Amino acid sequence: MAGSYYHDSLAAADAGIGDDGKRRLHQLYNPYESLHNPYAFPIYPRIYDLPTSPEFLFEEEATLHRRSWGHNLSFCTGVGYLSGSALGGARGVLDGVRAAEPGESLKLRINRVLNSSGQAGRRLGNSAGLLGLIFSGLESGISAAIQDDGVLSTVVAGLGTGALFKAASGPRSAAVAGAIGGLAAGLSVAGKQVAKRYIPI
Amino acid sequence: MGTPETSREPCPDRILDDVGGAFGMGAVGGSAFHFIKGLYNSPNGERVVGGVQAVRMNAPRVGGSFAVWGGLFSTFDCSMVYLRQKEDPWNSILAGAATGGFLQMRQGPGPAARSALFGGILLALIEGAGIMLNRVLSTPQYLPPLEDPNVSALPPNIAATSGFQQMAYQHDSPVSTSSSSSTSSSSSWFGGFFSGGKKQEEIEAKREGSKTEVLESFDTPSTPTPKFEYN
Repeated sequence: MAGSYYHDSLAAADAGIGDDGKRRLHQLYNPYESLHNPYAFPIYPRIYDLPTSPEFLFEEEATLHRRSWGHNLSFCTGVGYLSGSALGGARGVLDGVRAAEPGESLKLRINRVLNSSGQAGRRLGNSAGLLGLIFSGLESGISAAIQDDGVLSTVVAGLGTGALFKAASGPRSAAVAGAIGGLAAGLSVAGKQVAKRYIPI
Repeated sequence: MGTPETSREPCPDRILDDVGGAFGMGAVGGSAFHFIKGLYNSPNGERVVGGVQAVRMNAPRVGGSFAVWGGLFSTFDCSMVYLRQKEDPWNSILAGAATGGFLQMRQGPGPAARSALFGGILLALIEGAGIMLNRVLSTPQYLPPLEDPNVSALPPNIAATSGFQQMAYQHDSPVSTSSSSSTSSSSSWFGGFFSGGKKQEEIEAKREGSKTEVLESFDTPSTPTPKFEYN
C-alpha cells in the first residue's frame, strides 16, 4: 500500500522521524518558506533596488555628514583660488589682446598678454582664495560649535565671510557684503541639490 | 573594524587639495609674519592697526605665491606619476625641478636652469629627510618565532610622518593595507605636507622604489605548505 507509506512518511516528517525510522537529525527544507517569512522575502527589493547614495564600507565614514576641517579648508581654498585665477587670467588675456597696438612685434604682444593675464589672475585668485579660506574656517568652526550638519552653518559662514572681507570699508558695506555672502552660500547649496537631481552626470 | 581610507586623494583631486592647502599655509604663515612685522614697524599707538594693514596688503600675496608653487608642484608630480607609472621619490624631485624651472622661464634659459637645479636639490633634501624619518620611526620589532610567523612578520605600522597626526579616528588600529616594508612611499611625504597634514596620513602601500628593505616576512619561515609528494 504505497499510499499509506506516503502518508506515513508525511506524518513521520512532521514528527521528526526519518525514512529509516530513526530520529531525523536535520530539518526538511521547505522551498516555499520564504513566501511566508517576512525576513526572507524583502531580499528581492534589497537586491534590485540600487542605492543612490554612496555606500560606505566603514562606520566612521558613514556617520560623517561633513568634510573634516582640513579637507574642507583645502577644498574650498583650492576651488576659490583656481577659479579666481582662471577667471582673472581669462579677463587679463582679453585685456592684453585688446590693448595691442598695430605694428608691434609678436614678442611684445605675447609679453603684454602674459603680464596682464598674470596680474589680473593673481589679484582675483588671491582674493577668491582668501574668501575660500575664511569661508571654510568659519563653516568648520560654526558647524563644530553648534553641532549642526545642515545648511545653517553654511549660510552663517557665508554671512561672516562677506562681513569679514569688507570689514575695513565700514559697517554698512560689511553688512551688505555679509548679506551677499550668505545669499551666495545658500544659493550654492540649493544649486548643488538641484544640479544633483536634474543634471544627468 | 579597519581604518577608513584617509590618506591623500587620488591624483587629479590631489592638485586641488594641494593648491588649497598651500594657499592656507602661505596665508596663515604670511599673516603671522607680516602682522609681527607690521607691529614692529608701526608708530606707538598705531601698532595693531599697522599690523592689520600689513597683513591685508601682504598675506594674500604670500598665500598666492605658495599656492602657485604648490599647485605647479602637484601638477608636475601627478604628471610624473602618470608618465612613469610608479610612485617614487624621484617624481617629487623631478617635479620640484620642473616647478623651479617653469617659474623662472620668462627670465631665460640660464636663470630657469639654475632655479630648476635649486628646486630639484631642495626637493631631494626634503625627500631624503622624509625617507630617513620614516626609517627611524617605523623600526621593525622582532617577535619570537614561536608565535605565528605570518602575523608577527608585519612590523607594527605607525602612521609615519609623525608631525601630521590628526586624531579624527582611532589611531590604534594599524593600517593593514600598508606593506610591511618600512620604506613608505615618501613621494607623498612632501606633497602631503601641504594637504595631508590636515588629514591623517597613512603609509601608502607598495612602494616599488629604488631602495627596499629586506621584508621580514620572507626571512621568517611561513606556515608549512603541503608537499605533494606521492610515493
